[in-house]
Amino acid sequence: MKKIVLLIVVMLFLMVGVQFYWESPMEQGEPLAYRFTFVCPSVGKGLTAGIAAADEALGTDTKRIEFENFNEEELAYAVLKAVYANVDGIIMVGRSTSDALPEAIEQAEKEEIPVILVDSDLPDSGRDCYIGADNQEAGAQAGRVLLESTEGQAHIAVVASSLSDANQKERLDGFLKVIKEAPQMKVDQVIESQSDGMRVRKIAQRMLDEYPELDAIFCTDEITSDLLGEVLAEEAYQSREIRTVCFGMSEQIYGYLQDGVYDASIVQQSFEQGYRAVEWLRQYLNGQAESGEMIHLETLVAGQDFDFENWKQRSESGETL
Amino acid sequence: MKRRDKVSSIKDRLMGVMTETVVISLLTVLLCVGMYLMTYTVYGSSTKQMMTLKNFYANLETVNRDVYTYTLEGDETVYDRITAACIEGRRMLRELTEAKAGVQFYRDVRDMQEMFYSYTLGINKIYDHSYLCDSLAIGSKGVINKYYNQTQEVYNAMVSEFQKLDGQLLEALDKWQIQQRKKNLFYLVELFVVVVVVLVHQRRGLRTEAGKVIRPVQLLTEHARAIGHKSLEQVEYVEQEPDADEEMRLLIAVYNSMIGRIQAQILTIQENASAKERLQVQELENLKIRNMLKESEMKALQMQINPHFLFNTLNMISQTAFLEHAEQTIQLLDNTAKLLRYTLDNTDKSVTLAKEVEIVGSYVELQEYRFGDRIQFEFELDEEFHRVQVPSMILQPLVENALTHGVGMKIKDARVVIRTIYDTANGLGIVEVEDNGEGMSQEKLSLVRAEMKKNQWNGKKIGLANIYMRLQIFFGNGADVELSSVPGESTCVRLLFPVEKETESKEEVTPDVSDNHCR
Repeated sequence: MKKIVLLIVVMLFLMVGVQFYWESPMEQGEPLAYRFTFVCPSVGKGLTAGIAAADEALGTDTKRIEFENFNEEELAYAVLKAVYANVDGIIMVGRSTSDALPEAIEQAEKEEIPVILVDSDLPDSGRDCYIGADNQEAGAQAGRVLLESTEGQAHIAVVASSLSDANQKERLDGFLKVIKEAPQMKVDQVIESQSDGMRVRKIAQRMLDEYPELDAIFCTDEITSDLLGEVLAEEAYQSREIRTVCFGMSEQIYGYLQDGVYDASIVQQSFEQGYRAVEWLRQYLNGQAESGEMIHLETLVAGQDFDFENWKQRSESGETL
Repeated sequence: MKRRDKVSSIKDRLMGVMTETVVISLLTVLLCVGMYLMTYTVYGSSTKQMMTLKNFYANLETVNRDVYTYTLEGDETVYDRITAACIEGRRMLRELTEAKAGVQFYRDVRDMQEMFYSYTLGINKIYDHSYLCDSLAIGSKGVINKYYNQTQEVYNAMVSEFQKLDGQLLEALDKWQIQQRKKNLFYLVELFVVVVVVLVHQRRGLRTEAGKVIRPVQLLTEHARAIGHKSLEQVEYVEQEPDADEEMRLLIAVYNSMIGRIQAQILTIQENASAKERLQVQELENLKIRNMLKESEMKALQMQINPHFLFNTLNMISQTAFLEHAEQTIQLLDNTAKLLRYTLDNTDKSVTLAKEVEIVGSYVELQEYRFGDRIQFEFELDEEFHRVQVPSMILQPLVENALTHGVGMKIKDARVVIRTIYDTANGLGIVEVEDNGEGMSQEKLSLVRAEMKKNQWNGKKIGLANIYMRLQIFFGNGADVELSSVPGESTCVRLLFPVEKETESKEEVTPDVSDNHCR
């Protein structure tokens, strides 16, 4: 009888355990001190991981509204809805090609909802803070790397997603300032890819075919960096020994670094950006920070010895957000 | 008292097994019911939340239509309706915040609450401004229109959020259903395992009890049934089961003891019956002997009548022969008279072997006169044991038989040997009568032996059977008559009887009598 009772008790424990275990993903939310909204296009996971880590550490609750494709109208509407929802703060990536996003930011400001931009800045949008890389410096950093690897003598092509994007433009400016010091380094081509895979392939092939003297490339954004490597890795172009410095970090970019397709990549500290954004909003709401701040985080030059696993682990830790 | 406790413990054990089974069955049923209720409750709750969301949306649409109507008409009753609907809307949203549909759903509902709040603020602004205007008409009341447009922006945002919430809740419901199926499967497997374990456990318990109680009872039943098919003395004892309960062991022991007693009693009855049968046979034998003795006495009496007449006649003849000086005749007559007297006086009496031999001597003298040189009579006597008592008339008939059946037809060289031997080693006295007459075939010898042993008494002959019977009566089983014969050569009849030690002690030489044939 004792054995049977023990068995039934064990069974009950198992049932209760199973009940709780499978209920966990369906748990009920709870009101926390601060409600933030993170509106973002598809960006690296590092930002999300940083925000999640900050939420956990600081007791805030950040709702993520993510879009697979960059659509400024949708992003702007998401910001407006956050404004209607009267959130405590909005975090977003300041990537804009029209007035929609700045207008949405303006609306938030009107409703006294703080807006913090990360990764990319919109200096004239009325945002309260920007946390991210110093794009001028990041571009200069890329220039220095390329200068060193080409020994000051190169025919350079610049591939950008869109030069109307202020960040990329700043990066290009910083890059140009550095290479200007070396007279033998010439920028022969500046091409916009519009972050489209087919277009990247097409323009990259044409560029390589039409300019055989081309021996260096600077890629100003992560999306294009992801796509360009594929073309450069093709057998027809491998013998060209083109020195390439790209921007950002991903599985593909790391692979190209390892294969020697890319010489280096300028990597932003995305995790820190996300974490610091939440931290700043909390401080701002508590009167410990002021509007109009710009916080620049250092960029890293990643080569073949880059600790990708550690970076990946850190970036993916915010998946559950 | 202890035994009574034990008996109740068997009952308790059996009741325990039954109680366990019932309790476990009830628990299993309760668990199943619990699972069902839990599933039903959660499902009901999810369905209710879905309905709440739908109702909220319907309520929102109604409110928005009323807001439009109020903006156009400024009707207080419409406003009151809006207010009531807004209160209901807030209640519904509050209810939705309690839904277990994940953190993201909660965040969206919270946003929806805030949007709804903004929406009601916009309505309040319209209401507040409507008091400032004497007449409400779209186009003329720019501020109210502005507020109305603001509420519509928020309304649209809410509709957009509603789609998201609806999708999330549906997704949550799907996820919940998948999880519930997994849980149910797990519970079912768990219940199945428990039921199997319990059944195996109960079966083992029942088997143990069966080994202790039921199996011994079955054994007893089988043995009891076997008694009907076998005789009781063939019934074996019931083997004790090693695991049997103490009471069952006692029961089997008592049963075995009962079987043992019955078998012993049957054996006693059989032995008594056998003894009784033997006694009856003995009595029958005794009766037969008594009858034979009486018949023998009758014959003797009859024989006594004629001998007196014969004696008188023989005396008269003897006197006549004396007067005529016929010495040989006198001798013959004396021997005949002696023989006759011996016969008459010693019928059914015991005499010494010496007397028997003496009478045979008289008889031989008569026969020598009759047969002359044709037959030689020889006596080889061991007189050491001749004082032994023997039945009368056991030797003369043997000599007569030897003459009649053996050498009677022989013209010359016939010989009859009368021999006595004392076998001191075996304490036996042996008397042999051997002739060298025709002898007998083995078949005839066997026939004679068989007739002798069967004590065939024809009432007229005093033959071998008579001698054999009388020796048996006189000496018991210690006496015997042996026959041996070689066809055409010889026949020997040998009488064997026990001799007392007094005679035996005087004997020093032990003759070899191992050979059955006469010396």
